[in-house]
Amino acid sequence: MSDSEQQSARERILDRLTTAQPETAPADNLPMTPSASESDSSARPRSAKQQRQLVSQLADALLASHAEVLHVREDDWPHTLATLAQAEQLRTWLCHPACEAGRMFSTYIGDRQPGALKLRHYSGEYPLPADQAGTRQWPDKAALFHNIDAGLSHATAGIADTGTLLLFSSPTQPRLLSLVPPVHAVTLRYSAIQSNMAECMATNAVFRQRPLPANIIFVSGPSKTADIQQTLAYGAHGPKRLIVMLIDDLAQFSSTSS
Amino acid sequence: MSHTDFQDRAAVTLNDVKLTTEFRNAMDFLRNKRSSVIPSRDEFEALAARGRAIREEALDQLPDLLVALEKRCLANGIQVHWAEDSAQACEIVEGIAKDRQARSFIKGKSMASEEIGLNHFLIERGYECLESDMGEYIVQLAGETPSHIIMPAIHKSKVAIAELFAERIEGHRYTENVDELIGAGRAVLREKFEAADIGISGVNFAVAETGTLCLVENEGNGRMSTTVPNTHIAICGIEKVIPRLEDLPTLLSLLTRSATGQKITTYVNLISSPRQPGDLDGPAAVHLILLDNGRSRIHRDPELRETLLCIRCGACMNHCPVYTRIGGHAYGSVYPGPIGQVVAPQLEGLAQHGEIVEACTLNGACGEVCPVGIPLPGLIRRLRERKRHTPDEQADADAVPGSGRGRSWFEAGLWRAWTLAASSPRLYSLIRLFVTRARALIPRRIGSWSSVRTQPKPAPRSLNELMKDRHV
Repeated sequence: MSDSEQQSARERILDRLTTAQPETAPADNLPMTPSASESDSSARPRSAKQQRQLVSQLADALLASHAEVLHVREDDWPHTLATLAQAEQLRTWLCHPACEAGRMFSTYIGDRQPGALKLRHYSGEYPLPADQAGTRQWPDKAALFHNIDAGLSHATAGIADTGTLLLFSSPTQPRLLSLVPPVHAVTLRYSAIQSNMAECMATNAVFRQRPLPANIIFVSGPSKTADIQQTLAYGAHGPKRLIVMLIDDLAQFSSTSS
Repeated sequence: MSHTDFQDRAAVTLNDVKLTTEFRNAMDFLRNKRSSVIPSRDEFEALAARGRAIREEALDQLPDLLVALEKRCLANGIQVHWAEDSAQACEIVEGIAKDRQARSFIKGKSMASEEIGLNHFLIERGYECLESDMGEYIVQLAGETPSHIIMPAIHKSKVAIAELFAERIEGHRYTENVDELIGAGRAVLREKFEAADIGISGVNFAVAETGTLCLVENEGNGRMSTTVPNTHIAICGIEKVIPRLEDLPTLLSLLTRSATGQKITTYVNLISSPRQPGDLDGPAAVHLILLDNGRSRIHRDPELRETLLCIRCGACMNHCPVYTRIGGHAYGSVYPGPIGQVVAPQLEGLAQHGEIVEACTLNGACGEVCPVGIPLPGLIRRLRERKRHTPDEQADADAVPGSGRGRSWFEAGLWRAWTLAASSPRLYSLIRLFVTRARALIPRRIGSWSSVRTQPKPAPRSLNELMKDRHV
């Protein structure tokens, strides 16, 4: 369609909507502000004990959605992940070197050089496999789809009620990293967990940014489908496995309040 | 006795015991899952009241919100198009494809794209257009249409899908193992995601405040379709706009609980712009097509406007005793079940979809489970009226297409005669005398009514006479 046809389609639609406006029949007396009561709780700071309750609520919900949950410490999770990767033959990993989780895992792999583990960086150049000489620039779709066993990223926030992780897209948090590889491993701090979605959106500064990040993803488990005779199957299109590493950073809380 | 198309289609399911069992099981499954995530009636009703308030506010401010959404999207770098009908929407999609010299499309699940017949249009024009939702993919592979808005392949058994895959997917060997079947679909579709030029999606909610398109799903194909190809086109009915970002938690919770009985879907995807400077992936261009296709006319009709409150959860069909027995295809419309009975005649006209308005027992289950309180039985009854006459004050352009066409002189005459008889005691007793005394003359069969019911037979004497005998 030409621009002028577009313009007139727009005008005609808006004109029909604007003229002769009836009000929608109101259904009884309804509270007009959505979630005021839910976001009230966010104003009060939680004790370490309360925060730990949220952690276990989130972990339970994730487990119920078929995700794998590991409780780890800030300094030892790269070792835990490398051990798991070796045991389960997840050889080629992809991360962004400047993302929190990617940086720590890169340092660990660089220092220890654990056998048979390869870590690719989702930035700059991608070295092609030995049988094809040369390099390509990321994002290389072929490499992403065929040569990566697992992606690693960091979740900025979590929601206890539904067992949900939040991923905000940015230059260091590419979108395909958590989607295309068959396994997605992700770190989340205990302290970043909120009780429900309304609270999470009210307290997290990212939701007040304008414009919002190009993409915000709420992840609540591995990809799944029940489209064949209501039988649940995992790994429909996205990751078949979701490995969540919950980092206990509540030490500073626990000394005072537990 | 001659059958209508609707009756023929309904008979296909009704005469197939396996299929009726399939539907029964699927509906029970969805209903039980829904009840399992509804904590208490009070809590859910409070949530539903908030959801309804948001949707009402959105409809009351619809033109302003659409303008705000457009402005915000443009500022974010999303290109906005307006389509008055299906033909315009399809043309816009093709225009974008031509600009980009694109040949292949991969689609996430979108009822709006079903509504405009986009697959058919694109394939006819020589493009490749593949559904990527597992259910939609199965349906497309079989050359069929979805029979449910949330679970498109609900009418197909595992065995039927196993046979379909063995026949249509190259190199795939027959298996009834669901994991292997999903694996086979995954493998085919992954290649397509990698290669497709354009990804197409629907929109569950469009947030005016931030210019954000919200999509919910479990499979990840929606994320794939909106992230991997270099261009993303989202097709969005104009009624899907909501005012604020903070409205999302309430509506999402209502939608996923009512649709699949989940507190949240595996993925909730918020798209606010194309790839930003410095970003490594995501589509370079995002297009939003705002689709009217009859919605603005519904919006102008105070008696039918509540149709547009719908958030497309499908709970009404899951709880409909008619849908459960005849299945989605019987309706012959893109949207089946109670919401389809209300939407299809308004979008495409009563001439084409007038009959499904009658396929309702007015039992009220749909209205009771609707998370935004759409009075579906009331709207169905109202459309039955519209079939027979257009309200006096309504302009032709605002009338439901085909309204008044279903008026039959026989039916209208019968009602007039009844009014006359019931308001004149003398005439009424005369008729009563005739009916009781001449009851032998009543035909043994009265059309379709007695084909499935016991033939009613008037008593030899009226109640009035019996009471007189007893000197009451």
